Amino acid sequence: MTTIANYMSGDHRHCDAIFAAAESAVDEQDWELAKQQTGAFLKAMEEHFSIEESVLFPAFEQATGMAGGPTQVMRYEHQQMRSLFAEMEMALAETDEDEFLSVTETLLIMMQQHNMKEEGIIYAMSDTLLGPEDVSSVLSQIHNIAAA
Amino acid sequence: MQLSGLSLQQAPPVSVPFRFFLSAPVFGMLAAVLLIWWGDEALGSRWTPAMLAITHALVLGFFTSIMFGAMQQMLPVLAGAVITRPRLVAWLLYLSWMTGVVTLLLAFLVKKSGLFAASIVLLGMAVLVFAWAVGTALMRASSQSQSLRGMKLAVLALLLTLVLGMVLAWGHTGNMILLRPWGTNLHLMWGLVGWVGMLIVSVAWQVVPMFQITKEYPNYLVQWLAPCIFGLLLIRSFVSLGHFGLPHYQWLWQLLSLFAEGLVSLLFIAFALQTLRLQHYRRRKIKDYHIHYWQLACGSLLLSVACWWGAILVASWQWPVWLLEPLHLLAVTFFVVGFVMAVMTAMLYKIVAFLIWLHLHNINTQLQMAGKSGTTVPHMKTIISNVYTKIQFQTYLLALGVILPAVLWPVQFARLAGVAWFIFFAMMALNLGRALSLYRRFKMAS
Repeated sequence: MTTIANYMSGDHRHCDAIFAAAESAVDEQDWELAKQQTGAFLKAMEEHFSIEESVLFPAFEQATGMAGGPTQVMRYEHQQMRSLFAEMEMALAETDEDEFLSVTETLLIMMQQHNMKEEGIIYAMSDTLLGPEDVSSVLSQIHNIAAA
Repeated sequence: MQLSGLSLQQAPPVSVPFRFFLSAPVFGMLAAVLLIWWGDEALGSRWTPAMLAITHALVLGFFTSIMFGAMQQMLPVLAGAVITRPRLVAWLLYLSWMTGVVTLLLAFLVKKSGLFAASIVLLGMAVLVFAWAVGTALMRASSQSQSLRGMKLAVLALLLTLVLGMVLAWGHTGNMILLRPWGTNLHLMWGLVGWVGMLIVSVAWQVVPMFQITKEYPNYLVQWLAPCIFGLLLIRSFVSLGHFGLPHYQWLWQLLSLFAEGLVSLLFIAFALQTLRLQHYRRRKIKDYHIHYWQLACGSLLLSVACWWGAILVASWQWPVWLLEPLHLLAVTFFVVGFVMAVMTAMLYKIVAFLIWLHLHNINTQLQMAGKSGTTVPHMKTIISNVYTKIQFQTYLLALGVILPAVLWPVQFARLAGVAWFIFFAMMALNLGRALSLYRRFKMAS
């Protein structure tokens, strides 16, 4: 059975893979490919954030009664990452390799420590606290967003 | 599932980990100065006062200080739990730890029993503060992270190391017999393999896949490595006590000892090979010195195990006997300044640059929320530039390259090794200090 943790962690790995491809393209100065990969990465990340902010976090907040705690920190970190996305796009537009790789170095750690908290805590707790029915309802909402 | 105390707070105040990170290279430089001062005399045997002071400056002053800082920082990320009253804990820990380490180093050098007694009290207090603060946070952990079990065992190993260290220090005061060498060997084993080794391995489960975008470590390794090492170290400890208490069963103790040491070696070999394999197939292929540090670390770990078994073979054949001591020394050298030092340096550079960016970004966001105009936050590679990271790596290669011949031919190389390590630690202090002053400038300007 698919769990929230399985699905969402898998999505993290998917985003990581495109991230690495975008970095490699910039490293090799293949700017056309870099644009494609960066575009794909930002799209995948925004979709992932939107799933969390509109479906998963509200469900987590309802199940735990913790509206101002962990999910608020996660939302704040999404904003931090969004500001790095904007800087990535700017460096890409200016074909500035050093600046791009400097932004992605920071983004990588920001993203990974964020993922670690989500995978270790938010997703795992969601699966346990929501119960099988709510988990499948959350998963079907997630699939709807992903399919859109 | 525990919800109370769940916190994903981003970070404790910058001063909490940084006081430990910045003090660490100072102890490194101190160790190097001691080596320059005493030269080959320091490396003459494992019992010389200078050797004891140098190893404790490195393992307590450098490694453990960094680990104390990093663990206070990483708990919210790894465990979803924060240390309550982080500033107070950090101050108590810092003051007792730093004064304790300095007192112990002085005690080794001037051999005053009062100093040994004082260091027992101070270091004991520090480790208890740490174990209490971090231990309660780990117990409250809501996370399913695989690293947690290993971390708990590592903290337990630290406590055992401390108790053994206290007994040995008490022996130095003259109030009881000094349990050499078996008490020292146990102290060394729990400190290096238990505390430092298990902690690095447990952190690796998370950071190797994370920093290089690799696949995860195999589940069996992640689940079983730390508990097995802990269990085997317990067996090895009972063997030492058995040797002491029941000397008639030599064959049994030897067999058990070979079993425990053999399995611990195999587990570390599996860890090193698996790490190298994962990194070989990493997705993130861009140039990064971080990966070279890990490669050196894994290579050193394998060589350390090889030298250890070389020494066991030489001891059993009784030939060539002159190789026995150098092989033991090389095994410890590869472990400490090859494996542990490389991983710590690599991690420290990433953590420091990231934390400064994170805190600067938070300041900037607060400014913007208060309606003020924000400013551009420098990125990690501006905070510590590629050029300095490269120089740091080169100084590490140099220092590692000189310490190995220094172990074998101390008369010719010991002082040179001291100079090389001084350059390495000074470079580190400079880079970390520069990063922190950038943070201060930015904060003042805002």
